[in-house]
Amino acid sequence: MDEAFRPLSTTLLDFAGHSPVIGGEAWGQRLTMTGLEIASPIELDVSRGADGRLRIGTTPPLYPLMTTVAPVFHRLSIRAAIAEREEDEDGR
Amino acid sequence: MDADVADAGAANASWRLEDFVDSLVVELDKTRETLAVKALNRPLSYTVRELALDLNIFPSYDGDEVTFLTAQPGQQGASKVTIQLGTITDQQVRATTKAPAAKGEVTIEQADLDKTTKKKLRRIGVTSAGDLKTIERKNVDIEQVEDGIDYRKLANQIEKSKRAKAPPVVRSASLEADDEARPTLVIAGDRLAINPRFAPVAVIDGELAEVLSSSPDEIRVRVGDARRFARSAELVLTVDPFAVMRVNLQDRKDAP
Repeated sequence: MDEAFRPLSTTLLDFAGHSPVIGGEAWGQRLTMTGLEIASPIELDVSRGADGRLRIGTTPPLYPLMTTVAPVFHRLSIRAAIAEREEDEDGR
Repeated sequence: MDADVADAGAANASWRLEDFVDSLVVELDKTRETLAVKALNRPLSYTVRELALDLNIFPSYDGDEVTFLTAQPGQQGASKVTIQLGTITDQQVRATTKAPAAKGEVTIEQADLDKTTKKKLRRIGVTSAGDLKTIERKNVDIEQVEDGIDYRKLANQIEKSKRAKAPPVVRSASLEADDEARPTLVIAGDRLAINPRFAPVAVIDGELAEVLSSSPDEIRVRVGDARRFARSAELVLTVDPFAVMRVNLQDRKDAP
């Protein structure tokens, strides 16, 4: 995979890996984002690994400028929701 | 990452849709697993419910399968394909997933069939010998659906592959006297006569011999003259149309 790209799972974690809770004591209130929908242009690098499996490399648009060679933007959309939490043995 | 270094030469590989979706699912699973671990220590966290990718690609068809090439910078005129993945419940998985092939069942991939026939069978959803039997039970004329598919020929080829996976094994051969003191050759082994529709046939040194009884672990053959085993004798035993054994037998006087 080209070093400018990273696995799709890393990009997805950047989108959906943060806490749904915003704010705190300093803000005086807390907000919970109950859902998340993101649609973003991305560049793709699809290569084949030594094991024969396809590796999907992704990156947000690399250059915020007009370039001589026009990049190809694909589109990644995700919808995330708050995970239902199962109670553990301690009932937490 | 070492694997990534190895990838350097395989940039912008062409791909089949199912390979791409497989990789997409692997990436989505990785994301979900990481989010699930995070959720252990956080009161609230997200889970990815849906993912969609709009791809700019160039499809090509080589007469056998369709492959895609991701459009690269500077390339224009690409086609657009949207892949959407959503969450699926356990119940939906059960309703839409076919049970894996049973133990010992021959899959179409394992069967000794030519590539075109395998492709035709996959096209009508046949992936195992069991699927083919289901079609036969429903009295469907498979040749009407796919030209050039002959059910009987296929069933024989699959049966042959199945037999090749579980061949007969001879463990011992001995000469015994039957109730009337006539010499009988007793062949003991595994998976010998397993086809109830076919009676084994024995030929000793080119002469047809009478098969007295047969079972998966033993076959008894009337020998006639036991002296023929003083020198090496050749027994050709056809236990079913897909398993023919050739055994050289010689009487060992020093045997216990």
